[in-house]
Amino acid sequence: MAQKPIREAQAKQLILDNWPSDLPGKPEIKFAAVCPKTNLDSLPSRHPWLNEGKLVAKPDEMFGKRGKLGYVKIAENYEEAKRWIEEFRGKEVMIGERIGKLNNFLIEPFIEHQSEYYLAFTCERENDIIHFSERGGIDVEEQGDAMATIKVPLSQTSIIGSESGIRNPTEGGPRIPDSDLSPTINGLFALFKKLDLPYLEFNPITEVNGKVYLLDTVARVDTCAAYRQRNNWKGMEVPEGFGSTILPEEKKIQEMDEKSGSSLKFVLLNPQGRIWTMVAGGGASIIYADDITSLADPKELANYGEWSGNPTTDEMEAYTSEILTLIERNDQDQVLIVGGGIANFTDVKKTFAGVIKAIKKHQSSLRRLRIFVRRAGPNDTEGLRALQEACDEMNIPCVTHGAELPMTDVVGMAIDSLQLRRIPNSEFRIPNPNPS
Amino acid sequence: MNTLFTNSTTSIIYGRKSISIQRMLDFDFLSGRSPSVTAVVDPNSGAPLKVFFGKKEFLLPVVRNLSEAKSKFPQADVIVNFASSRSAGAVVSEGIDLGYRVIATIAEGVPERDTREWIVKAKEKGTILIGPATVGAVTAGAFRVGDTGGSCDHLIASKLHRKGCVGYVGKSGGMSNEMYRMIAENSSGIVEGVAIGGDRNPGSHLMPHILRFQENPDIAMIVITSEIGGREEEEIALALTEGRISKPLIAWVSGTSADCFPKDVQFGHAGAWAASAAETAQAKNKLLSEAGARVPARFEELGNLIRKTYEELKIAGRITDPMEPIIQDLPEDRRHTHFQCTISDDTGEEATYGGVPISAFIKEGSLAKAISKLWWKTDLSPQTLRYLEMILTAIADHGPAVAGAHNAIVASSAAKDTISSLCSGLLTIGPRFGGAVDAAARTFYEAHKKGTSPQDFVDQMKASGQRIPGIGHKIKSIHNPDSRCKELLEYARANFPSLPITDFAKEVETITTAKKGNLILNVDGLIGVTLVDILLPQLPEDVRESFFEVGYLNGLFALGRSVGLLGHVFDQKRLNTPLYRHPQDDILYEDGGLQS
Repeated sequence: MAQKPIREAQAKQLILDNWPSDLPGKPEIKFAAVCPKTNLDSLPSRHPWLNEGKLVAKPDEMFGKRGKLGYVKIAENYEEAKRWIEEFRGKEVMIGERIGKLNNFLIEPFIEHQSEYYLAFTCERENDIIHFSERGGIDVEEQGDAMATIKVPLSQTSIIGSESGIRNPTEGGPRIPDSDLSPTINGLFALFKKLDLPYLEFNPITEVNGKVYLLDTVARVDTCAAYRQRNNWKGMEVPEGFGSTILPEEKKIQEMDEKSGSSLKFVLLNPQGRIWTMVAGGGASIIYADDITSLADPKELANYGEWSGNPTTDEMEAYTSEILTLIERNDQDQVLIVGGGIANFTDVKKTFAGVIKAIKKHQSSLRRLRIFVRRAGPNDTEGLRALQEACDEMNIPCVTHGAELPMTDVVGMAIDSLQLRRIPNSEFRIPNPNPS
Repeated sequence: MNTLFTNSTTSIIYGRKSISIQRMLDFDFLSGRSPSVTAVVDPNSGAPLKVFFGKKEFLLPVVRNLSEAKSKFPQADVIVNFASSRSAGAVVSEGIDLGYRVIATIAEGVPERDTREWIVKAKEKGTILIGPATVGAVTAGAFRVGDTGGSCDHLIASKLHRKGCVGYVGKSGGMSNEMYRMIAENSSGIVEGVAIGGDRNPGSHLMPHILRFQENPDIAMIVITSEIGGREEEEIALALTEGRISKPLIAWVSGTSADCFPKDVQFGHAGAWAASAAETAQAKNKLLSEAGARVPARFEELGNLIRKTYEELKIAGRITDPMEPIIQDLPEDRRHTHFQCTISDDTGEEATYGGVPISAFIKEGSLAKAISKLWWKTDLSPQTLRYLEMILTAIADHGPAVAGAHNAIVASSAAKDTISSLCSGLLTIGPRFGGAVDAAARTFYEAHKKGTSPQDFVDQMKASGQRIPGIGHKIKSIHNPDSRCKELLEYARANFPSLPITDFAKEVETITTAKKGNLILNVDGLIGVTLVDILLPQLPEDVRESFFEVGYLNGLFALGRSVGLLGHVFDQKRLNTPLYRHPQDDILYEDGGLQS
């Protein structure tokens, strides 16, 4: 797991829940979140302020530039906001190159304001970074010199206190002028650190009559810290990115991964793709994906997957089974590439025993599948032999290779077996004069 | 040092990872060096670990925490940290504080903020961090971190047991082994290889390793593999342009497929995602290539490029093919033994107690001396040996009426054999009869260690409803003192200057006997506290640590009392006593209630 974006409503809820009671500058946060289950008619009964003036409504689907794209609605009253949401609710839209459904929305009171600021906190290797500009509302790339970038050493917990505003205590350089915003910036910075948010952006943030409003919030969480943020995150479910509806098979593998000490990853890219992969190792899986997408039409790559850290035989059986279930549903000729480098400690025999069990279970419906294997590591000879023999017995076409074959050579074989190669093979391999 | 490790580097392993440790030792054996693992840290158990070095099995010391490892094995300057992602941070932090030179962390899934904090701290102290989320690193023929290089057949095929001419650094731990093989098949192999790990902020980046390769005269060429995400290739490109890296550098950044995906895909490595166009694999390959690195068109051509570069260097006379060393065979049929023994040995000419021939003990003729060697693996002072003999004498017997002797007599009169009758008596030894020595010793020791006052101690025990072990006697009292206690205490006071636990127990006795005359420090209690005072400082650390759990002092009582129990058994057998049957009029048959 790694950094993942969360919804604006979730980010604002985190700030509301965790702002320390003794810290000044708490921003005004008032919102109503709309999810697929929300009954829009009864929403005002839970949020009476919805009937008290102008509102802003927008989709909350973790894509940016909503204003530019026409996805921010300023409504005179709740009725208008509701109509606007109903118009888009559940609709499939294309944002950039991603297609996804608009399921989640955010409604907030409309704040009449003059000034707009840009504020963001990001992480660098040895410092936290505060980005601030008095030209809020426009993109980071367009900020130019207006943006002050302040490095804050990791040990620093408070960034306020000097009369000259907020600045890096050890360096000269840019600073954020002291203003009514300073206590809020300080508090938000503290939460950014405390809540394991590797990215937190407010664009714009504004101040009206001494009160600070976060007009737009973007945040990412470090999912690796979830175990220690349980109390602060309060059971928040980290959503999938926009356009990534998660399938039951993906969900099952995700749950297996969470419970296992090993790593089991699976992302379905195209269920009608003809090239399926089950590659061992985070690094090797990237290289296999690179090779497949360079040799064949990327649309043919059905999935990205990765397993590592010596999973148990049972885990490998369950993991393989989920993938075979998807292969069964696709009625074209397909290939499955079981790839990987030379393992350091993952036992090839033990993990392949799980693969074999799963194939046996599904054998009757795998008539259109060919399997290409390249894997090495502890007990590889026995593991490869067992898989080869099992496939031979079941009459499933299968080739198995160990370290004697360059790692990704099976990709070319698999692609050629389906005649999917799109660039001529210009490769010239120097023969090895003294093979070891 | 031009390499991370040498063939004299030694390490501490955090975590009882027996397979990984065995792999390290097998590598050492194949490389012809001495064992590179000095000790294991296991917070849950100090039991030593059985491992092989070549064919020979030995016990690897296990300690409970890192600071103990540092004080006992100060020469080891590397930590191989197998702690989980949740506890890895504390190990790294403590390791930096203790001054370890290299800390390699294997766990995947460490929160980013934690790793960044280590990085800052390590920088201040000059610690080299490797990982997290990696398999580690290896210096060919010198030292391997954990599982790096895989099983023995693969590490020999990848030529990790001897020095080549290539410096390799990459992100992926899994791919590092594949790369070692690719490099070995296309050149003379690596001098050193590092997998920095797939996180967004690895403990050490590619650059410091590349600069070390540049400095190392044994390294003729450098190979790096990187991934989509992060921008440190810019720094490498700059160093190439400025000539700070002058050796041929072959590079490949994987992740070119990221653009082809129809949706967000988090690759298996946490750091493998592009936050901007500059972080894509395509951009970074281009940047490195333009700066003078040798970048293939595809990963598949990497091996050829390595071969081509190696051949060029060979033609230029910069390198020659190395001699292949003779490798000692690792026996295939190694089996761990099921028993272990650390106190005596009968495999030589003459049996030994703790390495000393039995004849030496016989000549000396001291039972206590043999006890100290076989029980506590040490030699005790002559005064202590004499005190032990006095104790054994004092507890040898206490008449036929006490529970143990009574049972031995009953068994013997039932015509049971000598050993069964002795056992019948011995099996009676327990918390209420003779078996309170350890409990008394421990209770007084811990109360004194906590600094509890004697009065508070008595009050606390009373409040919790517990009897104080070692206090109280059925017959003896302050008015009718136990002569055994008197003699033992007199000797102890005369021969040992400081008896703090004993002093504490005697103060407790003053309080308890003020309440009731028979609440004296009994013979169990006195033996317990005096021996803690006298023995503990003289014992080796591993014996001292488990002193109370093992139950040495109850053992001492059983040993001494066996003399008396056997006496009673022999006595009964000589007298040919008939079977004992307890008189019925001495048994209350009802439930104890008054009958009307």
